[in-house]
Amino acid sequence: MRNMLSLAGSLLRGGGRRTVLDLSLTVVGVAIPVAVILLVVGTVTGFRERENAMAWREPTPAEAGATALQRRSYQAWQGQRVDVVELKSLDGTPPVPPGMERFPREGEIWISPALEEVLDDGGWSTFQERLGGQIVGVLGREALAYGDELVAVVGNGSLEPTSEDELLPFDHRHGGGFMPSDVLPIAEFAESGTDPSLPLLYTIAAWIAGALLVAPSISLLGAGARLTAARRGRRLAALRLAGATSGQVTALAALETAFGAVLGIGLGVVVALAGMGVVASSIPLGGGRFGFADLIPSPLAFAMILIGALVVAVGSALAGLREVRATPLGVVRQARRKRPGWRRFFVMVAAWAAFIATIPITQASGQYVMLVGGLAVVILSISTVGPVFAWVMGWITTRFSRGPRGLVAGRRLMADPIGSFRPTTGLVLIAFVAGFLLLSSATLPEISTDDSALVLAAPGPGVEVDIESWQQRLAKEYPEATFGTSTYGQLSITLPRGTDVEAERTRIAQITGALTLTEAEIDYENRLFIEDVRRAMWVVVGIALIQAAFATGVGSAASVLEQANTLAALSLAGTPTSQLQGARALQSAIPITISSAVFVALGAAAGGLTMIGVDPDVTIVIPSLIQGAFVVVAAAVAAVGGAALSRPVLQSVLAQPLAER
Amino acid sequence: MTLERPVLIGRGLTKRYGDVTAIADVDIDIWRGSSIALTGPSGAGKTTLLHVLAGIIRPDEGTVTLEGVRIDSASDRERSRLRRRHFGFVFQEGYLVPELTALENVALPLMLLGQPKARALREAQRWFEPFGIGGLEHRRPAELSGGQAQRVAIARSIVTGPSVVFADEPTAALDSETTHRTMTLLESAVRHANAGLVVVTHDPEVAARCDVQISILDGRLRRAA
Repeated sequence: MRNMLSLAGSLLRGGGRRTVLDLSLTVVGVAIPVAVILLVVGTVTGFRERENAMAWREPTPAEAGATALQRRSYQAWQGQRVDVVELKSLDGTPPVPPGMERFPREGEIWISPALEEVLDDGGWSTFQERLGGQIVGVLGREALAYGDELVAVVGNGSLEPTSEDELLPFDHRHGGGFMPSDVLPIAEFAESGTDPSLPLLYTIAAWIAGALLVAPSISLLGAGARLTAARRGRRLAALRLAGATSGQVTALAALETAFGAVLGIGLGVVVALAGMGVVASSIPLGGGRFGFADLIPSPLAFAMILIGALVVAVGSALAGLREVRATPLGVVRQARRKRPGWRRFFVMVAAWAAFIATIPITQASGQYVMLVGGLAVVILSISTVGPVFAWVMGWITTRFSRGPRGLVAGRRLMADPIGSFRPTTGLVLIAFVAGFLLLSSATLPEISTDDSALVLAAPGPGVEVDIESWQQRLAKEYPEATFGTSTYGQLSITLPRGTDVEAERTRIAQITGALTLTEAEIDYENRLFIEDVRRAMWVVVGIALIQAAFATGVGSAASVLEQANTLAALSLAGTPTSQLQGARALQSAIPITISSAVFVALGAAAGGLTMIGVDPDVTIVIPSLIQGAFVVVAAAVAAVGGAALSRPVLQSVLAQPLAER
Repeated sequence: MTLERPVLIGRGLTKRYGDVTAIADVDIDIWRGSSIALTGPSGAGKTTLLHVLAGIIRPDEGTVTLEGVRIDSASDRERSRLRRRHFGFVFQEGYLVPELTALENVALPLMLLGQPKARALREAQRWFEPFGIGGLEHRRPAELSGGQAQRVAIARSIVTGPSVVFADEPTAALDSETTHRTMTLLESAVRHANAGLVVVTHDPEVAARCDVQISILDGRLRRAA
């Protein structure tokens, strides 16, 4: 083993510029996916931390030995939501809530720093009146899920435990409304838990985004390592001829790749930490920004990702050396690769047929799982049919090209459609999802932003309300107000301009006992989520574009090194470098651009069909074509930019005299 | 009466790599219709001289003149254009573009000179039967034998009607029978195109077939026959 290490070191040191290039490809090929995977896992970790950080606010009923009563409710304040925890001590030894020095006494209100800032604008006394107490303290960071959160803790002596037969039949957080929880006896505050509302949705969305980004990341990771190792084939074959055993050659390749992979992992960690810094400082999700520390995955997850990256990189490198290991003469030969079978195309047709078949079944049964399953099959079929697209595009380009650039690019596509499509896989998936979201989100009913009227909602499930009585009482108090009906059929009241809405909301609640919210506030969580999904979609598209550019660059640079002698010979014979580089850029741009356009359109079609599956009477709204076109143009730019990354490699190859190779 | 002149003239050519002098004060003339073999041990400067004559690298001293035009002082771009138009190249391993068919490989130089694809392919097609590779037009390089690939490479070097063909160890990877056939084809193609031929070789039999043999040692011409 010591000899192997020494020999691997000599090979690395003595390899010169080519080894530096090889090593760089491995480092970049490993660093980018490691960074992406760490960021995705970090985001999921962040939401998990957030769930745990807010778990204490949800009353966890004590089996025995209860020392306090707790209720969680929400207050609307200037279009935002304030999380309110009401507490009452039962025996004088209640648990101390996180972020507080002590249990709140009756009539005391503790507020978060962000809420303090909001109230400083003039709502201090109204807020105190609404919660029935005096603000006496500021909550510490331990009480909050994120720094900007609006939270209040109230000592409420009037709390009485909800009786057995009045307990809510469901989790009050479902649906993201403003429903208060039951009043429950507690012995301690929960330290961890899951939240069925926003955090759950965000965690699911983060996993979906992660799945979209991680699959191509792993492919990029493997491609980078495999391609560099495959080029080592000739040198390692020479070692086999000199008497090295298959195991020794394997160990050498593994050591060389591991060296590059470790450097790549280090770079990936640095990039991921920088990315976490950007997310923490600039990208609000779920209503607020993450703390940097919240985004750091657990040591176990961290170790698993880094070890996994090393294993995949080394495994891919060894897979690329199969032929050298088998026989010393088995140096990689350039042979005609098999054309991708039309069966792949029929897989996609079958997937779409299955998806479309689920629509009437879903409509009839209301079981959306069938529809989601059909959609998943369509998404899975994309990577199967992709190489067929690449081959067809190669054929068309070859057939209709007029110059050498298009001819060479087209032939390369036809020669290796799977390899040509691989760097685009991630982006094509993203293009599909972007198309899906563009159409389905455009078709969704508009989330209300109307804050002109206060809607009076029932204060709890099953509570009978007398709308006429409410209106009569309010008409006496507010003779200049106008009354109407909200989107959801409740009574709404529009107060004269210039009214202090927060003060009057408090009064109206006292008069009627109703929950008083604007329509915008009722849709608060939906709006937050949809806005975040739209923003996140562009972030994911951006990361996918960067990945696609790097994947194209790595693949292109690797293929330059593989064909170094041929390219040099062509250059010596007078072929301009621009023609060589142009063919390479075209080879990358053609599949990525056309695939993106096709899959944005297919994604939009799937989005439309899904909306019809959910609601047969829905009116499909065609979204702005500009957004779809943006994805396609950005994809083309990423491809050409990625191919341009291989230009220095090409120039380096051409600068080396043919005789010295 | 027109006095015939060499198509390519090198005078006082010197090229150094750091402290090493690859070629020193070389004078050489290349004539249309004639062939020159450059022989000598490895590292003697054969390939460097070929690259200097072909305008691939610039000499540190001396001049290279192609049909009366100095090419040693031309820009990289101009030298590339001159190579495309006036020179053909045959390398040891052919170095065909692996994704293109044999026919497309031969047509490539014509397309690079701006000919439309269809015309370039028609023009390239003409060379296959005479070169004994008829029927192989649509094969990829990986599907050709070494000798067949080298024939395609020779066709590629000659298709533009060059003034000079440079061949760097064109038969090093071939057996003696294939070497003989390949050299016969190369000589005949060059003669047919009325071009000059410069062959770098280690093989005495190949050198003996050329009109002139020049031996290079330590960058200097030692003997001319």
